[in-house]
Amino acid sequence: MFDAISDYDPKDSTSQGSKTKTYDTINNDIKGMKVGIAREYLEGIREDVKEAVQNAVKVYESLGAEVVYFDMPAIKYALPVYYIIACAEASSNLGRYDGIRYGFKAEHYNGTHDMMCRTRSEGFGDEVKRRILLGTYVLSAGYYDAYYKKAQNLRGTIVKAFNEAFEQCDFILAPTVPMTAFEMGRAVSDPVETYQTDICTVPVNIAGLPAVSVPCGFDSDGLPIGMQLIGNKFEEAKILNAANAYEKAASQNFKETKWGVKL
Amino acid sequence: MKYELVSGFETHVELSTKTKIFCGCTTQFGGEPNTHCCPVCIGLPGTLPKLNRQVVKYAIMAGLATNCEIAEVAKMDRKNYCYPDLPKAYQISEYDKPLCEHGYIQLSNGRKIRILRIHIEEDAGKLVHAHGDTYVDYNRGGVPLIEIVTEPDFRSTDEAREYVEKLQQIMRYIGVSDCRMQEGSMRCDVNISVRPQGSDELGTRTEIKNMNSINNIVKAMEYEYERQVDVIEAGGKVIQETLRYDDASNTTSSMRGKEDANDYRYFRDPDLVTILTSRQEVEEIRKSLPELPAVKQARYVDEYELPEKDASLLTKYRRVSEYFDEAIKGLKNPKTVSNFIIGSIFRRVETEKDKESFDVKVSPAHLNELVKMIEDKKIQNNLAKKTLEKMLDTGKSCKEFIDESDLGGVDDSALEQMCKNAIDSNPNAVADYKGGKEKALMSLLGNVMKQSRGKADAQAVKAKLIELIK
Ligand SMILES: [Zn+2]
Repeated sequence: MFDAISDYDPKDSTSQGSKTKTYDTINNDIKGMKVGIAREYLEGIREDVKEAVQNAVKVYESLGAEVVYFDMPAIKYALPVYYIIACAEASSNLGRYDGIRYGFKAEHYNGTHDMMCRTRSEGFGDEVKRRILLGTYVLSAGYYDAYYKKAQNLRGTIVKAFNEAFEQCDFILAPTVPMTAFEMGRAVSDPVETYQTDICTVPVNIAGLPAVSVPCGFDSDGLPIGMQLIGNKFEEAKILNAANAYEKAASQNFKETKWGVKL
Repeated sequence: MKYELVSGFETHVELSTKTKIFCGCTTQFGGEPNTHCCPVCIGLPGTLPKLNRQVVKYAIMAGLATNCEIAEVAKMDRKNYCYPDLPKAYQISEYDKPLCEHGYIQLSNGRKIRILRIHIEEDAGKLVHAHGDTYVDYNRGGVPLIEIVTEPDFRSTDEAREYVEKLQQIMRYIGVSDCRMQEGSMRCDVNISVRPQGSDELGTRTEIKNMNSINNIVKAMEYEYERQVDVIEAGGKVIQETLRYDDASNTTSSMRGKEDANDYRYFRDPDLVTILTSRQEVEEIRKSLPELPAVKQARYVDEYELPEKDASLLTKYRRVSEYFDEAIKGLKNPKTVSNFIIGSIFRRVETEKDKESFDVKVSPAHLNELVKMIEDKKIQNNLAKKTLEKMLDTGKSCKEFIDESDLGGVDDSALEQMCKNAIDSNPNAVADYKGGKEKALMSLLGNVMKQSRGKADAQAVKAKLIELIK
């Protein structure tokens, strides 16, 4: 499956083509591999999550991997950079929902312009509207340099930080989310807090890297905790192999939860 | 006070690639509405653009033919604006890294119109108003365009006219566009301002759109120039605005609404990769370009000693010049061929479109054969002309008519015999001529022409008569 979706797509100009065959290379042998820990990933996250991740590090050590610690100050910019770029692209991408060719169309309107306005006002939800507003703002004349351009420059800085990190290690181990799942409905009340939960995962999106999330324990309520393994470009094989090795060695983290979900 | 016109052009030229810029749909003009479309060019969610490399090649050709520098690294940006004919609500264009920059087109008065940039972009669809409703036809959406932007270098409408004609001519020569203004495959937006003659400052400019012929461009510019001068003379100020030209009333009027204070929120299109063009590729394209009209025209004047005017007529359309090049092969006198093309053949091809395709019944080889017969003195010039008309009617070779109606020339011995006959039978005329009456020779000449049934070459007969009388 992975090998199929990672193949070259002739209709996508950004497609890089098949650079790795993954499945055949999984052998669970991670002896001598270097597991990187960036200190910034462990800052400001909940204690039990941190502990679970540190336990996973020990598992890797027991499997013969070497652990290296380093700093990656650039990743603290990842969240704002991500939201600026993603919202800018979304504001442009969603322009096509004008009610002319497909999708929702307002029922009552007066002329083409009014139809487009009403279609969007009625059709888009609050979070989408929020992102469109944010995105159009950061692209506007007069704000472009201060937001969008700066975000793109920082994106370059983040990419560079990861490149340097991968000179020291084979993959980076980090928490997937700084806490465990929050109650249903709470996300809506504070969007900024909700955005914060993405803090560990967006650096990968910004840098264009592969990552795999693996369960690595449970909190006191029995909710699963996740860690992620981040690989260098086109090194999916390495992280999948490492994830598989962990799963074999720490099977207690993959039991059925009290809600009946098999991890 | 005397005023000076200052004007710049932004010209959109539709490229004649077979397929659209980001998908495989045809670029053909016309067609039932929304039949030349696919998920990509009507902007369905989840589709991605894939740049047609032929578009880049054509744009580079256009750039090289107008003396531009070609960027090694270019990129494509999104120009965001909302209009029903633009399915994605953004146009993919090039904002700050155009493919071609810093070119020029030289006018006949020696001035160079500087080209600031040429960039590639996609065309929008078309709104159709019918039955009290508005419909959208996306057939044209995604057709590749180049936008050619000049510096404000025009100082007269004559210069503007020549520039548009030259641009059309160059684009057609290199085969990147048919540049038909009526069909919209070439569209000009004109910026105009006026300033006191001798001033270096630029006045406030207006932009005129919606002109579909060169004549309309000139008329609109003349009108707008006068209007601005009137405003200034009356103590007023020209307002920066976009104007629409109305052909029927020959006036310009303000075009509010769509263009009002637009912020296009340009940003790089993340769906497309950087356009890299190697120097080697550019050189290969440069080598593949045909001889450009200006170069060709100069060569016709220098090499074949054609008058400037004739050289310009022959090079105006690429097919005509290729016809001429073919027809003069091995001939001593290209001017004769040129005269026949301009004098006789052009009368049969009247429209621009016909001259462009130049599909005439007489092949270049047949014309070559005919002129060769004149050069070999086998046929007289005016008879050749009549023969050419018959050839144009039927498409047959000149040999057919020369055999049919016995128009063949007269060889030297026969000519001498005819001249002797004329002298022998007209002693009076011979005596008159000897006595100094030059005109007497004409009656002898007439006699010979009669004997030859018009086939003899008058100059040769004259020379022979004089020789024999002496
Ligand atoms: Zn298409």
